[in-house]
Amino acid sequence: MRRIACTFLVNGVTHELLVDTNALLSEVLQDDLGLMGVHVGCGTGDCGACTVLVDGLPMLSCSTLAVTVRGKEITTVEGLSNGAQLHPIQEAFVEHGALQCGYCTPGMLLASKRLLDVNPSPSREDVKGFLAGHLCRCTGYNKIIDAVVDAAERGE
Amino acid sequence: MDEGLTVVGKRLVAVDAFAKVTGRAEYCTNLRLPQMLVGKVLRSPHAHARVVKVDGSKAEVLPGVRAIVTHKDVPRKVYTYNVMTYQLPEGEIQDMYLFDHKVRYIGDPVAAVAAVNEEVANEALRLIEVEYEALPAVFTVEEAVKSGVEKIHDFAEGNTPVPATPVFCYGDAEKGMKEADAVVGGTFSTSKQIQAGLEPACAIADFQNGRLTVWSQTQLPHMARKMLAHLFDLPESKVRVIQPFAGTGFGAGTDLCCEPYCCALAIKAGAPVKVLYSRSEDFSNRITREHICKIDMHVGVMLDGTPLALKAKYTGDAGAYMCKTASGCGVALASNITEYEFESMHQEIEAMYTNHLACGAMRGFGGMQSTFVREVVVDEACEKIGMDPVEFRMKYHRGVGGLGWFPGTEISSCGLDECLRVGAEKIKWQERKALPKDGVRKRGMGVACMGWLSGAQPMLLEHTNAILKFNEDGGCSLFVSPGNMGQGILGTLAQIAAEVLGIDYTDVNVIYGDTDLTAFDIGTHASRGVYCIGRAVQKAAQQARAQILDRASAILGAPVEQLVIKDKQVHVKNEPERTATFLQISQTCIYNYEKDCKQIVAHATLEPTEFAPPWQAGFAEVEVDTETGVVDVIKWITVHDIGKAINPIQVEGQLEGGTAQGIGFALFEDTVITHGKVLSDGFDKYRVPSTLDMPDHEALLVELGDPTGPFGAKSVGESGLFLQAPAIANAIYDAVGARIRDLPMTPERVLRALKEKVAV
Repeated sequence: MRRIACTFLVNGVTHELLVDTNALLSEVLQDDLGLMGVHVGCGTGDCGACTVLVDGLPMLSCSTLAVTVRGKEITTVEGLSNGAQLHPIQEAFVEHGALQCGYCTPGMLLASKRLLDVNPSPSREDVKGFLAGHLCRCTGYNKIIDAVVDAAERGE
Repeated sequence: MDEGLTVVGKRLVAVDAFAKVTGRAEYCTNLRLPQMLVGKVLRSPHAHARVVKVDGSKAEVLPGVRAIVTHKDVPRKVYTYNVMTYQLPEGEIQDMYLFDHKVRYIGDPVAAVAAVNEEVANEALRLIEVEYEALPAVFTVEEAVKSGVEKIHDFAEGNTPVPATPVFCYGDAEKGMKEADAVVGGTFSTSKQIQAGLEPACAIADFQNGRLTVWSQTQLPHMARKMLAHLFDLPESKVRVIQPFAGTGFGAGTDLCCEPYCCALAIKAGAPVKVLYSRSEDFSNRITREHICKIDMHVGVMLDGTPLALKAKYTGDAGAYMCKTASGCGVALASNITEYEFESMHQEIEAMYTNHLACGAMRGFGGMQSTFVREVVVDEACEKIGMDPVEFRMKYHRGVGGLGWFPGTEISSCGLDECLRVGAEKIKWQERKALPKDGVRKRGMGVACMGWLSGAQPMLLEHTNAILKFNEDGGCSLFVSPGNMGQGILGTLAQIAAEVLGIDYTDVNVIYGDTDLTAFDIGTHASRGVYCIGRAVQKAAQQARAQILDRASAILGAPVEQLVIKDKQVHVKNEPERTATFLQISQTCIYNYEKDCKQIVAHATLEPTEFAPPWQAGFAEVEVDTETGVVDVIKWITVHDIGKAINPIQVEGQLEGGTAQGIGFALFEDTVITHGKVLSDGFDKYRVPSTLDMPDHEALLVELGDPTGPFGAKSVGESGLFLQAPAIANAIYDAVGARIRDLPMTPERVLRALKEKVAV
């Protein structure tokens, strides 16, 4: 197995790491950087829980080799809030009860962020379509959709 | 009844939401301990075989391997994953051994390894040599009972540990069926649903100074502790179970899963070990919903609807171990008693072993299956006698004082009429005949209803404790021990305490999730959290309130009867200037320099006995594509008799989430097992509803109060997912005139039913 020197800009901080060529992005974020908000639900790219933003785009960190995103800007759920100040999407999720067990939440939040970045006033159908790859076993999705629409209305 | 309530009934945010949106929540899967090893389980490739030899000597010497455990390393003790066995004096069937001499399903553990990393652990698994002597296997209950078939467990003749047994029968059902104007019914089948929480199965164990600490996804921490103590020959006090946040539940946490393997490894390795199942391993080995594979049910009614008799038989495919199959069948039976005023009932349960993955429990335990069948059969009966299905239900459901599930129990409250009325109006039930029935896509509407329970008392032990401790600032800590899967129980219990004490719910710091810190509790199952634990919290808060008033009485020089608590202050009635703040009172309890220290600590124990059923009506409007068999749910409405919603956001959340699981159960969720191998071992093969599978749906609450519940509250935890399958089945019939008796109602089954209908 080879190791490659990689630079990642994670949540605004530059990290230089020696990364196994077969290491997954989820593993590097969890094991090397201690970002435990990266939740792996399936490891096969089917549930969306492990989603992070790579240069602003949602990517499945469980199905992405870390070396393929070297040099890129990565945002995890830890990078959403500004200290104790929650991001408006986080606030909306809390207020609407858009989470229960919380395991899918980081992926939901980050995907929602991307949606609002490209579509500042999505309809409920837009939200449903955009989050279709993100499974939640707890909420039935109503309150998640409410939260995203509300976050958009607050001007994200 | 909302009069004067300041905290209860309010839409407050969940106390643990902040940790969950910021990525700071600790789960078993993301917890790391110093020197923690990776644990892996070696599994049987055979569905049924004798284990002749297990040799870990080659694996043991692999650098980086810290422990190999086989049957030689653990006490040979009979046990069961089903820790609820402790809730009955006689217990339930225990038929498991850790690394037994026989394997009984594909995946049955034969050994486990702990190593410094995953690569080494996987290599070690490959180096363990196992010699099997394959045995014939059976995969259906019909095959299992054939004469001459290999026994799966020595004690179970004919692979039938539970032969057909009548339970809780009353009246003369034979006579009722003969006298009935109409008898309808048939044979139904239901699927082996998977709980499918997003967090895979995971546990961590550590053994230090003779004490075993286990981080677990359990919903029943104290009983999990008891079973693990038993399994490893330790006193309960030497075992500590910690529950981090769980990204799963839905009943999965009422059984053990990876804990036994993890503990065996940690004890041998002398270091913390994490066992984390892959998704495929989780779906193939975490025991599933109780699989009541076959239900025969008939009802006899008079032309005016009078329900004379109900006969039913529930057959469970237990799989390799009994775990919760027998109790699941029992609950199917018991929960069927409460819904309608049948004059007689004869019901039987039976359960067989097969070489399938065993069954645990899933939300709606047992009642899912009997409710589906009963509500479809009742729909058939209504059609036969020409009665509106909503009218039948309003007229013949049981009410206050009626039969509860368990002999001697009575229904304490019933808001079902209101649920039916609200739901029928909302979905426009009266206009259903006008739904389009021409063309390829036909519309229909269906209804179903049910009554569930708020804890399984008095049949099962439902012992609960709550402790409240006041600090010197007037804030308090509440020590309770529910399972916390994110259902909102922590904040809800805080609201109950805060309401009694006249403080904010943020003043109540809820301590849970550690058997060393909390007093005993059964935990979370049978929708008992708010009703059972909530009542204990209410009682403890009342005791603490009395202590506060006593202390205030001394400070203010006024009798307790004249004192009023408001806004964290105690004042004398009609004399607001004579006031003692909670801060003052609490300080005199703790920093009292007059030799009068006594911290306010209250402890309440509760063993509820009452039967307080939540009721529910569910309405579906569907569109059936008669060319493809695809059923689209257009609209779903749940109306739930909650008694009193302590926190409506959480109650709605439970119901809406239940709707998703219920739609999955109704239309597509199915564990596919071929020759004992679980084929549907991922989210790509076992379909869990996504946003796109969800119709326009809403959950409405009926709050008429219950005389026994805390502030009138009944349960909601399991209630959300019962009615989708029967109401959708009834709606399909309304749309296309075909009865579906098998779940899930896949396009293939719908097309087959349409074809059979044409053939008739």
